[in-house]
Amino acid sequence: MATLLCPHCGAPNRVGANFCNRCGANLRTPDGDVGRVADASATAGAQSPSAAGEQPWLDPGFLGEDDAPFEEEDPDVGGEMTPPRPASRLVSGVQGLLEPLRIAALPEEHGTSFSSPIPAESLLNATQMRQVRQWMAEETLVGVEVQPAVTQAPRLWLPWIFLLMGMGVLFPLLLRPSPLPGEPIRWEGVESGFQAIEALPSGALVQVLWAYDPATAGEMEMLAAPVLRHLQRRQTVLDIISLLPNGPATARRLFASLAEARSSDLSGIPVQPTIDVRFLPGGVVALPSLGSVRSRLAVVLAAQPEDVQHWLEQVAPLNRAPVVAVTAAGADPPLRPYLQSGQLVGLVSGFDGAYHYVRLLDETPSAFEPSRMRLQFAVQQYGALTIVLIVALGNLALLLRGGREHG
Amino acid sequence: MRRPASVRTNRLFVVSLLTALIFVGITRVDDAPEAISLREIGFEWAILLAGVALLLGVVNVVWLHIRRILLGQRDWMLSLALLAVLTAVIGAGLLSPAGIVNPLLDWIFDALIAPGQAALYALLVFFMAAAAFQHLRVGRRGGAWMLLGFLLVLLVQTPFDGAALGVGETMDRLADVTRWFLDAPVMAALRGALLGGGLALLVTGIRLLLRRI
Repeated sequence: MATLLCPHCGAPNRVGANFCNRCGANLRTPDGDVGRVADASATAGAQSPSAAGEQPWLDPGFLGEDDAPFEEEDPDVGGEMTPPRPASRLVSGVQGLLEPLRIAALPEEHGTSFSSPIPAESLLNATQMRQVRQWMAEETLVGVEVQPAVTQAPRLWLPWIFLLMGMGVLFPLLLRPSPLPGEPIRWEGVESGFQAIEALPSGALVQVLWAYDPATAGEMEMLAAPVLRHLQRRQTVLDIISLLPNGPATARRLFASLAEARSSDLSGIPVQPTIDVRFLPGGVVALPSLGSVRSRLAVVLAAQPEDVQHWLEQVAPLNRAPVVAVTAAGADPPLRPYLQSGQLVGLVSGFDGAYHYVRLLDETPSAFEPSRMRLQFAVQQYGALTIVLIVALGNLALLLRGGREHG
Repeated sequence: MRRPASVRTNRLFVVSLLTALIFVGITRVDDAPEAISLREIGFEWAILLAGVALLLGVVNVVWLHIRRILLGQRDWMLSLALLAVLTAVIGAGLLSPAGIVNPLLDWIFDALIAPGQAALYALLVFFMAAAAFQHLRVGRRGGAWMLLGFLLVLLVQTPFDGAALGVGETMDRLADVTRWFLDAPVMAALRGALLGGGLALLVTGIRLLLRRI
């Protein structure tokens, strides 16, 4: 039987085989010269003593002893390390299996011949090198070809977005342009909240839950300041509680700024001499303890809707005091049903709520507050416009590519 | 088959649960003075317990960072800074006659904590802008609806932008539409989710209770 010697490992293969049975090398090359074809009768006795013939590793007793390169390694290189015994096959007797590869690595040693690898060109001739290059260039993956994901979505480049957003915020801060025209919408709940405070008698006890910290103070102080000023004008007694560790300090800071920038309308009104802000550890669990305080009104200053909901669930049913919520704009939608159901008597939210509450107060503002409020409005307007611009850019980029996104 | 220890633990769990349930029920009784006094005592205990837990947390943090420093673990300098600030704040609060309103604590709050928290929170706007660029697109599935809702709420919440974008005249009608959206479909979905979550919690609790018994 005529055989073809593998140009890579020298193993005999059947003439016409596409791949080497031993190492899997491609045998379909045009220069698979006929000189390597030998008569099996001449070579079988020397190369294939086992019954398996051209695939000796299919023999169950095969242990890999014919792996000449491994056996021929210089024993001095590894020092006292003995090469591992070749692994026996787990499965045998099946046609087409390749001989198991044995991987042995020697520790890297400085100053030995391993520090400089032997160039492949010195071991292989030009034909063999060409063959190796061809193998290296071929696709190794067979079967279903995986196509790279092609998306029509414009790539997001964060620095540009951040830069645009930063310019949108910094522009009104640095250049102080005139505010854009328009009037904030007066939402339901602002006037009823104002009326609830306005109806308080002098000396009435009002519970205040301080549920925001410096993170949201930029928006919340704009809301809390006119409401607290209104409570002071009504000469109420404030019982301020916070469940946040930073809450008392935030409250003290706002009261200090209110005392510094007292409007002329408040100058003749005596205010509570000391504002004691209590911190209650324990979170929501501690809230029902406030239910025994018989107050005339409760004001919840909260950046999140959950704080108002907790008060309505844990405290309001116990002392039955009406509740006014003063919240950030983001907390407004979840709280609106409570206003409609009557559990909240007032809901003042966002800078539009603050704007209309200040107008309802009808007081002479300090010199500092209008400019600060105007600046804050301007920054918010231009910031929101910048976000609209960014969204428009994203859609424009998608439109120009004519694509449709998935997901 | 359950082991006796497991049964004892389960009974203890059920007894604790029922005690807490009875206590919460008592807190809702307004007519009986005994119930009110019991409620006040119970919540005072709860607040004390929370305060002690807070102190234990501080002790745990201190011990953790002392170990990091002693072992020379990565970023041990940050642990040292944390312990130094913690010692300074606690010392100033305990030793100063002004207590927690002494100038050092005020300065730490005004100069470090407040601007730090505000700056971190303000960074959100940049990531919100990036998210809006990436996700509020007409080409995405449902993206047109999201974009419409976003623009509607934004214009109504910031009417100055509506005026700038030339829709100031129709702002009242836009506000009505937004109000309807919030009151009808959005609120229906929100209430459905809240009620469903509450009922699921109740059923899970009852099942757990019955199985434990």
